[in-house]
Amino acid sequence: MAHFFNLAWRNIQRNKRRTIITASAIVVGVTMMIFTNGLITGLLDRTITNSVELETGHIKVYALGYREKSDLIPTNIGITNYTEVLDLTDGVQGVNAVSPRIRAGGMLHIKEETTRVIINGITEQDLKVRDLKKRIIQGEYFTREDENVIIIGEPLADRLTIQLHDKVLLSCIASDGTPVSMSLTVKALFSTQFSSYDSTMVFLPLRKAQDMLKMDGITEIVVMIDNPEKVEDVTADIASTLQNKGYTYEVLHWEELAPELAQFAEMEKSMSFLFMSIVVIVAAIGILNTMLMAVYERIKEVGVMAAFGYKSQSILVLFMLEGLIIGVIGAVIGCILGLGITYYLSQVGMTFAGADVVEFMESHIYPRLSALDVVFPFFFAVTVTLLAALYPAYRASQLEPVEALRHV
Amino acid sequence: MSEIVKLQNVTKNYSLGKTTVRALRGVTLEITRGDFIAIVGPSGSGKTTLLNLMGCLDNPTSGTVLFEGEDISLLTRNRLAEIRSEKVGFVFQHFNLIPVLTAFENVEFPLLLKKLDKTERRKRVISALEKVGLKEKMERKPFELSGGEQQRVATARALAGNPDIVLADEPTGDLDSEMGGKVIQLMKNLNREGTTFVFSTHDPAIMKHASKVVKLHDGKIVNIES
Repeated sequence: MAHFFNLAWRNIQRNKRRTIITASAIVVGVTMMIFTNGLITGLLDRTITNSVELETGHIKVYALGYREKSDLIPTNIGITNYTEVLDLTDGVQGVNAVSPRIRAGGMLHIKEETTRVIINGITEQDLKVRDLKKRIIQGEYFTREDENVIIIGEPLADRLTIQLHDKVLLSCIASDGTPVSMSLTVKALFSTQFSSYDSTMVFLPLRKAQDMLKMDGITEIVVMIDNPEKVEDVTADIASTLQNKGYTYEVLHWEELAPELAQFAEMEKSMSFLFMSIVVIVAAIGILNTMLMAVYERIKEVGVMAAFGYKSQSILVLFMLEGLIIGVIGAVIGCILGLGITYYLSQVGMTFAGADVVEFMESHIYPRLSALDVVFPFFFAVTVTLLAALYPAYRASQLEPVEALRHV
Repeated sequence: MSEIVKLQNVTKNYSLGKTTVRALRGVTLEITRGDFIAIVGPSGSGKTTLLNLMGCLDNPTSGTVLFEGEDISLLTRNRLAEIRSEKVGFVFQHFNLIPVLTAFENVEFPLLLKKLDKTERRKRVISALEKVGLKEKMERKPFELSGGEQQRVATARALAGNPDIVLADEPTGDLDSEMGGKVIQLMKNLNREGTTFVFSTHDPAIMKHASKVVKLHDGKIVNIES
């Protein structure tokens, strides 16, 4: 085999320019595949992380029937005895943090300006899930003593020309159906860089939200877990733990809570695979062409090999090896380039136009690679190359010795 | 002495577009171990076709070619390859050296199929190149050698495997008379040790040494001189 490798290696150097052009096509294909994988992984990772942190958590617990009406943000379908449910959920293996929340629709008024908002009643436990503190850009986060205070997003403050410590009026429909309103002081402004989120979300202490909405309970429990890979298992564990204690609550993980995000992730991966497959297959057609040319140019040599007793299989192996060497060289260089480009961009990031297509997608993306993002393009390119070399190699192996020797 | 190749009423036709070329027309010939046979005849008389059939490179259109008693028409492609590897050495008219390999590697190439260790293989290659006077140029590639030198490498390649029979198509065609004489002498020496030689040739020097001279004309044997 070493001799075959030696011969194959020399054969591919016969027409260096052609070999370089063919290998370059593989290099481009693999580089693009790795870079795109890195880009998509980075983009999806951040988008999913943002969605999990700011919106869904890894898992949410709702009272039965809440999800069906979640568009209406109902306040009359809640978890009443939530302290025990919180403790039970917190005790499940793999759970890292739990946070009780109230969510309700409301209107924010200042002077003659009014806008719709989503009211979020939170406790300090929420910092372990959604670290609002680090996103405060003016003012300070709640203290335990705070009562009539509210934290709003910077874009909302800008739009309504609200200053820190201004008094605003928050109104909503309480859980008993009566309209209520309350005067609150703006304690802080936050920014997550997602403008629609920052323009609609307002935060107040959970106790204040309960008072205002006339609720004893909460509307949801948000759960963060240690290992996001095990989200389905932990979801099932929480559901069974609660069920064993007689609670029939709905327990859903982020893929169920944000199905459009999961679908977007799947679609991105499929699209990138399809696109990159086309690039690599085009490169493979180059290999096919090169190998057919090589076979045609060396028909007489194939005849000599056959005359000296080389069997069809050996001739097939020789030409396959030539294709394999070109493929491996192209794939290795492609991996190095792909890794280099992705590493550089993972440090400096890249601005991505159209980031508002999906909620929580950042406009400045830092590509990130998993081992599979590199290993898969390598083996994909090598396999496609081998398949492309198969037909020319087979043709060479099936040449009749005497016909091959007679070839001019 | 036993026969190594036996042709019985062999015909071979080729299709050239719509034309059928009748390269051999009813050839019957026996090659016995130790023969040193020259096949002579004008261009297109069927000499190369006859050598190809003897070397199991081709099958007859009709008639029988027996190689050591085996009908080659009945053998598989792989078995024919094995026979060629183990028992036949070819010297082609146009050398057919592999351009990316050195003289040494070209001679070594057929030996790679034999179960020889590296040292033995190297010994055989160097010995064959020494015999044709090219040991000093064994690291050169074909394009660095003259036509005559390439022909000698091709001869060394055929001889290095110690084949039972060497089939040579115009082996001295590109050699000057002195080198041609040396190559013939080398082959004659090997012939004395038992290797069978069949040449197609126009070279009177080979004909002079031949144990038999087979004259072909229009695909038929017209005369055999012993």
